[in-house]
Amino acid sequence: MISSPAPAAPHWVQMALSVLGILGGSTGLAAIATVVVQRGKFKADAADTLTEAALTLVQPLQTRITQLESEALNARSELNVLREQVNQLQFLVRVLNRTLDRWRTAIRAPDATLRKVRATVTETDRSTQDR
Amino acid sequence: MGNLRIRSRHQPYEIAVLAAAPVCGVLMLTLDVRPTSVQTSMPVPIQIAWELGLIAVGVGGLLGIVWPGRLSTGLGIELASVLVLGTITGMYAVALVAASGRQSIAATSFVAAVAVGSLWRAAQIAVDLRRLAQACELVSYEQLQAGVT
Repeated sequence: MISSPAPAAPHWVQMALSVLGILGGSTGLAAIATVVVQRGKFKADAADTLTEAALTLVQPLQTRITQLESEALNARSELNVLREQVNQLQFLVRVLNRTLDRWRTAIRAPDATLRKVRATVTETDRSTQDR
Repeated sequence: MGNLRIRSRHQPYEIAVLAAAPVCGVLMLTLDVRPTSVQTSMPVPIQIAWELGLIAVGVGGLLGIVWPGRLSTGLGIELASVLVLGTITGMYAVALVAASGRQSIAATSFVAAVAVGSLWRAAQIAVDLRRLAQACELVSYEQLQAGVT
């Protein structure tokens, strides 16, 4: 090693660099010390933090989804009940239509008499009672 | 809830410089050579500390980047490393200017750029650490509120 010739090394440069080095080094040490001391602030791992943050985001959505699912289920069962009722009503309408047609033909028949009409009505009454 | 975004820790320039630093330091130590600018403008103990600092910074910085434990600890180690790296390269830049003046414009520019980049990265890490701390507080608070275990 060359013993320092120091023609281009003013004393203040050495001083400044020494101060700079000591300052920088102590800043680095202080940074590590700060993080170590404040470790309690960072309770969770990186992964933990991310999953927990995601959980807080997902949680409301999840409750909303279960709520909507139960609502959809309710609506579906209600729809089934209503469809059943519509079927029954359609059937009833068909039966009544048929009865009406029969009565109409009975009334419009050229040889229609009150007795015949009454007989037809009684017959329909019996057949509906049978059912 | 604010968005928790930690910047990517695989920054090519940073990793390259951090990997080069300990190689440079070990070579200088084993071959017992130092740049003339450093020799002329630093006292001997500072020179030795400068070399050891190069090695420590490189090893510590890479260790902090691949730290397997808590993210905060890894970030802290990286923060300290880039801070000291900024100091070391800044010292070298000053030494270059003091020793060679105008002759060292190219070298000084690049070394000073590394110093600025290191301090920049240190500021980024400090911001990330603050965000991380805030996120930790926020999460535990919301957990208490929601009753989530």
